[in-house]
Amino acid sequence: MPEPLLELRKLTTIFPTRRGVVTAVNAVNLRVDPGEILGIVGESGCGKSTILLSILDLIARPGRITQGEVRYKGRRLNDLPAREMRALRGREISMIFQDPQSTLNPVFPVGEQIRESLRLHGLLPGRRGVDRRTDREKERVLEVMREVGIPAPEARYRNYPHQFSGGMQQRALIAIGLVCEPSLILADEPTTALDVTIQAQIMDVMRRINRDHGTSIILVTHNLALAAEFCHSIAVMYAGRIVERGSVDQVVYDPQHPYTQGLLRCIPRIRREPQRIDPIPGEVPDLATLPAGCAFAPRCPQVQEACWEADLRLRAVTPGHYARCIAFEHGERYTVEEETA
Amino acid sequence: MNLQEQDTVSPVYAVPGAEPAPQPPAPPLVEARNITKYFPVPASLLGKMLARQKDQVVKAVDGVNLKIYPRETVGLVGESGCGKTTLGRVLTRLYTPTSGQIYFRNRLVAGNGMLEATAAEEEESRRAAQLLFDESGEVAPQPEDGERQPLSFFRVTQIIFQNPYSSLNPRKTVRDIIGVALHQRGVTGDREKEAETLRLLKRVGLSERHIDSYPHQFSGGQRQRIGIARALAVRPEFIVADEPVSALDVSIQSQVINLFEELQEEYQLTYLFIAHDLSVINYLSDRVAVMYLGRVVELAPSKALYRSPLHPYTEALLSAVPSTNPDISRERIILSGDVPNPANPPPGCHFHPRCRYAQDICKQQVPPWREFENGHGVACHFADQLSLTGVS
Repeated sequence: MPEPLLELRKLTTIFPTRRGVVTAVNAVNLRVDPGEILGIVGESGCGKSTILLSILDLIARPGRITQGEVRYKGRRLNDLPAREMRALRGREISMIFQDPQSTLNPVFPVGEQIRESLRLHGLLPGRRGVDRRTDREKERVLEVMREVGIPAPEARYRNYPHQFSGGMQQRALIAIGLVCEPSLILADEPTTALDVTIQAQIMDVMRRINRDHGTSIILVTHNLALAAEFCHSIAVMYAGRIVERGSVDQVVYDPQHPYTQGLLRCIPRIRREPQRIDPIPGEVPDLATLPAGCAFAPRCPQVQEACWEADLRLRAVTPGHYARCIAFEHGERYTVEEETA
Repeated sequence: MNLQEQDTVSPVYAVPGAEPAPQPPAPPLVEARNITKYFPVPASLLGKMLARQKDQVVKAVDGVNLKIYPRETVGLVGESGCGKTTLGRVLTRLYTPTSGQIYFRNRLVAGNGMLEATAAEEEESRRAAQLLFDESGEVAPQPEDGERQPLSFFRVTQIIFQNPYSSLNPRKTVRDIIGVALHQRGVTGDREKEAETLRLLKRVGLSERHIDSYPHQFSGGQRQRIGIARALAVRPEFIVADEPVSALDVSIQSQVINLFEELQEEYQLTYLFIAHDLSVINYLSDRVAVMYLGRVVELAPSKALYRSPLHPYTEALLSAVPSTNPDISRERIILSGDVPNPANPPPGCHFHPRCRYAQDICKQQVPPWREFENGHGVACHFADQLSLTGVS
């Protein structure tokens, strides 16, 4: 196995609220290899975005990481001084947010915003007094704008965000994330606000970045089909925990956890004869009042007596394919090494 | 069939003399004739003085003809800004069309939203309305004779909005929200209102104890159910559902989709279902209309539209949808560019700058609407010559 690029070990992030402590991310173990595209799939409130924020230590107070560690290239990020963490953000690990309209600063030209992270990290320092038009930072910005498919970058450099369409704004965000050539891009629902034809354009750009630069990507999405087409491996989350993890072939085409199976059954298919969709009953649970046992038990069609109390772990179904379900709790399964360690 | 060419071998043509395509038996429930809706966009005074900007007009809906037959679901798809929401609002008369007419059961919807109904017709619709809740054994309350008024289009048409957070008044309880709609139907007594509200809540899958709750106490899926109950409360025949499941999580989305299906069956509803999700549209719709920049570019029975699209835009839309089916290895068509600004759409066929089949004629002439077999209509100059890829 290659050295992992990013490792999460028992990462736990909590948010104290008036109604109780919400464990948004509950002892999550994950591993991302160099060049890998990992999809984190789940419904709203399952903790998938919080994982990304936890990786970059961007959890807003009073939320905090209470347990576990984030390792990047073998280095522990948890107790990193703020200055070193800042040096890492955008340079080594960058983030693409969901809503470009609220992420881009409306009062600065888009080109300058792309340039900002180059300047902050001092990557292409220009000599003082040199004509701005020939400086290296701007050259790099134009190159990145071209790469993400912003037409006429010279003209667009001076444009403000409101002069960009939604798809173009999202491209600009990707350009910001890409400009320092990070090893890992965290993409939080990058196409959710976009139309399907624009989504196809954006995912094409991201796929090219992965292929041409070997950049690892973590894609957080609620769209299982999108993850199935774009990612190499998938982690399905439910109520703060990973309930299934494996390659796309394993998770999407041979799902083992009842939640993943239910998700796949309740998505209307565009291909084949439309068959009756089969909804998962009930609602997504409230993380502040999560009962003991398996969080999916109240909605699970295969629920057993033991589910209500069992402290389930991710266990291997087949090599590389893990599920957190009572069905795999007994028998000749081996456990994920990190989980038992 | 307005195409009479004899020499073509293209299978999509209606062969002259062959059996006519099966026509839906009933007259349309709702018919839109040449509907347009323009929104003025005035230039700022400064812009007028300094940059000689002109007032602009956004043609959100630009000449749409659509027939919706009783008890069918017509899906309306298109990208944001294509005018699908505007069309839905015109068809419920929340917007007054700039030009064009709406007919309900072949009766013109007048400017004030009234239908000129004959007494017999009114009686019939009232009788049908009374049957609605008979299965529970309780006789539905009926309006008194003196209250008889000409039938309003607003009584037979309802809309369900996309955003369940902004479409419910946060200061009103469920009882108030649904009570207003019931009042419109003529249910005025407090006890009758409560009984009817409870029945509606139960039907859409909410518990009776929710009746005095406020919208913020509900999840998104539950709020959408309240919106559905409110629409049902006036016993409509035609419901425009404007992206009713887009804001919901997938597991909740499927519950609401199934609810829509059940209600259609029970109450003989006719839907115009607006969505951008082609999978949802495929699942629910009998026929599908595809909009692009204010115009319907293709309209066909779902299966025909998805399997053998005739418009290049439909082909590209279908190709862009991610799928969980591994058996498909297909070349994805990636459209270049964005949806153009509707205030300044390209001339000719609006789609030509992004179309990979575009020819010179597409830049100059608006493609006429042409109908092919089985009610498959399309506005493309080359619909009969391209062989486009659908989904199988």
